[in-house]
Amino acid sequence: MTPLTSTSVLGADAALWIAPLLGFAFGFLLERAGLAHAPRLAGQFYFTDFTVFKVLFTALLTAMLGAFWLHRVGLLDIELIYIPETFVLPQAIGGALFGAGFLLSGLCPGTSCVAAASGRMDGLAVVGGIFVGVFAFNAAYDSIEPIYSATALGRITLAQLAGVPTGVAIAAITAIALIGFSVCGRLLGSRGLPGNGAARNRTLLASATALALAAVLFDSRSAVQASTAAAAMPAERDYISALDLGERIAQDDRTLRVIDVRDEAAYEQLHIPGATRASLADLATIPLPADTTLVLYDDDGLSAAKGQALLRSRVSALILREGIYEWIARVQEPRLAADATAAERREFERGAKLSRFFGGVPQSGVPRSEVPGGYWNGVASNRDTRARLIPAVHAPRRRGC
Amino acid sequence: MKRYWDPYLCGIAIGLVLLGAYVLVGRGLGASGAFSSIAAAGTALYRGESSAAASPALAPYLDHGIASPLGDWLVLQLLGVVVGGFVSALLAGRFRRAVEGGPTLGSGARIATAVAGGVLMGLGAKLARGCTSGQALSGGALLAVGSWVFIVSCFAAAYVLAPLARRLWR
Repeated sequence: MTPLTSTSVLGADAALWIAPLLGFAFGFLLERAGLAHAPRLAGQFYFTDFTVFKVLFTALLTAMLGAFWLHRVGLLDIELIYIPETFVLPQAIGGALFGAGFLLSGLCPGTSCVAAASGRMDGLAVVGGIFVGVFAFNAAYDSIEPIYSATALGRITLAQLAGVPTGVAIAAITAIALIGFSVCGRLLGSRGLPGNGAARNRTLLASATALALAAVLFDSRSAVQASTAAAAMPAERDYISALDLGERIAQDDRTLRVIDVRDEAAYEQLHIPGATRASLADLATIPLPADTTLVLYDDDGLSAAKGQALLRSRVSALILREGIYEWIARVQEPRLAADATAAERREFERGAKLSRFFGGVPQSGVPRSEVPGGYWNGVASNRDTRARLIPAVHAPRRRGC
Repeated sequence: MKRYWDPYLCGIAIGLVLLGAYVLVGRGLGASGAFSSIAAAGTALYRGESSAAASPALAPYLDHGIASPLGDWLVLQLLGVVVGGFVSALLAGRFRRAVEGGPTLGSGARIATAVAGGVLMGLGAKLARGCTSGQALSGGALLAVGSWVFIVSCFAAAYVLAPLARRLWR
């Protein structure tokens, strides 16, 4: 199963050696395609040269179909790959600014480096300009931040958004790209410029079609996901309770490292005090000193269990079994039923002390139906009860650690 | 000087390199993120590590060694891009010190538009959390919604503005 770094076949050091090798191939191929020449790239905006489209979308189709099929045959776990998070507004505005800059400069960040490396001074000027843009962004970050983190949707794919199987989304994108290639060819042909021509290209495009159609027919992600989830089942000793965790944080335990494996938006809304955020993909590369106690948590314990399994060969991590929900229910906002038993009262007293420390408001004497359930009190929680509790709680006013 | 390779074949080869990145290290290719890391490291050197690490704009880029961007995956990958581009240009006889731009644009004006375009792309890539490599290509292939928002918005803006910039390239 891959990615190799996540499954600990390759260490973080090996990944750093692979980086320049992959980069070398990427830069070499961009230069070979003629993408170091700004006038050639700019030609796409005037319908005279479609090299950018052809290279970009052929590469995209190849990687998309390849990743889908490797996942389908069980060789690649797509959930462990870093998928960029969606922030609709900043990505739309950023895209438009980027497009305007692309038009002005005739190069993009990657190709400007290749242009500069081939001796083109305009490429070097673009590289310099990008640095200026990055510094300007950093300097103005405080005023840009509200837009930067607006409209967060988390890690969401087109298939999830449209509510269709991944195979269907892949086939749709392949179809649109193939129509695009054909239109490009005709546009060039109508202007007496060389079009798509070669029969070899038609063969390649036909194979993309075949793979995409097969993706629709064979799409059954659920089967593959179930098998990976089973492999990641943690044992009883791999768990830490929210109360134990809260007490260690309150005591300012410096050997503790709490990692939130949910997406950025969920983390921003509410996280355990002192927790840092990392995706499952990031876990492979973060440095972990041997004397730290690592605690992972998410919404329901599933991703955390997966992360724990991935780290097993490097470090033993503990899991907060019911994640942020357990933290809220037992530490942040504990509730005691009016007809509580002695054991429940003891549990509540531990939680209430922590709750006050972290700035929460413990409530006693509430109706039993309003006490959140979990493994700790034998009342099963479900997606709905969790969903009701989490948005009701805002970020703690006082932070530990 | 050699001919360029077929864009479809180059595209497939780049797609395989990207697939290799997914399989080997669980992440895609990128470019603008490396600019961010180098800029963050530069700021840390100039302003001091703790001051830079306290900035929410820089902190995410200072994880992998504050003074040494060479510990950063994307920076190393982009160094590879530069060397790969250089070797390819050299082997193909295309390495040449020159300013390339539209036929009617002077060198000075071309450098100015290149810098201006770079600034816009730097801002845009920061705001969008990635560029044509990291966002459009690597994220687009994984069907990330934001990557496709970026792709559509980027090309739409460029095509809408293209008639105004005609003098630069035609």
